[in-house]
Amino acid sequence: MKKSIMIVEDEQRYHDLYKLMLEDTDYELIHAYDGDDAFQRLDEKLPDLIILDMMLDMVTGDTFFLYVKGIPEFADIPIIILSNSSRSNYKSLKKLDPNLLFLDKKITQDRLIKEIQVKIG
Amino acid sequence: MNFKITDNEKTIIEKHNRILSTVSHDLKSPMIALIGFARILLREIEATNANHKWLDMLNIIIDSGEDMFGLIEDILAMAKMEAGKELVELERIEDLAKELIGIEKTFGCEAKAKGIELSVVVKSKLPIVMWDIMRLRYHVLNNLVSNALKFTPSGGRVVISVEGLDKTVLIKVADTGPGIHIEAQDQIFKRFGHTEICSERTKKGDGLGLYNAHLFVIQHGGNICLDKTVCHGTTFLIELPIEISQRRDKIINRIIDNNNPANQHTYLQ
Repeated sequence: MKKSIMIVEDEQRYHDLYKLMLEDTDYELIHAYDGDDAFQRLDEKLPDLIILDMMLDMVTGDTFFLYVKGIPEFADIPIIILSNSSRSNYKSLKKLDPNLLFLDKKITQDRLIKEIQVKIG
Repeated sequence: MNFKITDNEKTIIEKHNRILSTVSHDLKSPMIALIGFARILLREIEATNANHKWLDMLNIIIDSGEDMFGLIEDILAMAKMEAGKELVELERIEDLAKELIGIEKTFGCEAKAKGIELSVVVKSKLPIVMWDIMRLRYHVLNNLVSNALKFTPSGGRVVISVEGLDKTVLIKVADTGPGIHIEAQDQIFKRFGHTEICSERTKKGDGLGLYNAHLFVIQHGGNICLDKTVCHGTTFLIELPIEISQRRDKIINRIIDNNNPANQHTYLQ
C-alpha cells in the first residue's frame, strides 16, 4: 500500500512545487490548505507523515502541531516542518517531539526525498 | 561625542525595522518558489538532449535567485538584530573544536577547486561555551571564510585559528589575499559600507555581510575587528565570552545606539 504524506501549506505554488519534487516517488499526497482543512483531512485518513508550514492563516503551524501531538490517535504521526520563518519556535516544539525535523523551504529535491525516506521509508 | 538616542527615535527605528522584516519575509516566499521550480526545470532539461544555452540560462536564473535570496536573508537578519529581537539562542557546546573543524568540511571543496589551502588550527584546549553556534557560523564564520576564499588567489592560504583565553575565546580568520585598503578598513563594518569606498575587496557583495557579523557579535557580547598589525593579507579577530554575562537590554541598547553614525566605531576601538 502506498504511504501517504499530508502537506499542510497555504500557498498553492508550494503544493505544486512539492508535487513535482515527489512525482517520481511512490507517495500519495494529501493536500491541505490551512489548519482547519488539515484537521478535517486528518479525520478522513491518517497520513504516514505530515509536512507542515508554520505561517498559516487562521490556525498557525505551531497550533496545528500542538493539536496533533495532543490527540493520542495522531500523536505518533511524524512531522517535518518546512518553513521559511524563524526557527525560534523550533526548540519548544522539539521538546514535545524529539524526532521533529525543521527544514528550510529552499530545500533541494534530493534532500527532501532523502529526509522523507528517513522518516517513513 | 556620546550621542544619546531618545525613546521616540528608538520607536521609529523599531517601527522601520518591523516593516523591513515583513517586506523581506514576503519577498522570500516567491524567491523560494522561483528557485525551486527553476531547479526542477534544470533537472528535466538535463535528463533530455539538453540545449547548452538553455542550461546556461537556467543556471543564471538559479544563481541570480540565490544571490537575491541571500540579500533578502541579510536584510531580514539585519532588521531583526537592529530591532533587538532575540536572535541569540544559546546552547552548551562541549566540543567547540569539532564545530569549527566543520567549517573546513563546508568550504573544503570550494577551497580545493580554487587551489587554496584551508585549515583550522586549535591552539589550546578550548573551554565549554554557551554560544549560538548555528548563527555564529552563519552570520560570522561562513561569511568571513567565504570572503577570504573569494579574494585569496590560487596558491594562497586561509587559516581559521582558535584559542581559549581567560574568560573568552579568540577566533582568527586570516587569508593571504590582497588585504583591505587602509581607507576602507574603517568602513567595512558599516551598513552598506562597501559602497562608500572603491576597493577591490569591498565593492563586491551586498554590503551587509560584515555589518550583520558585527551586529551578531555585539549581540553575543563580544567584539570583531580587523587585525591592523598584520601587514599582508587580511586577518579578522573575533573575541567572544564563554558565556554572555551582560544584561540583554544593555546589549540591545548597544545595537540600537550603534545605528547612530556618531557611535558606529565605538565598539571596534
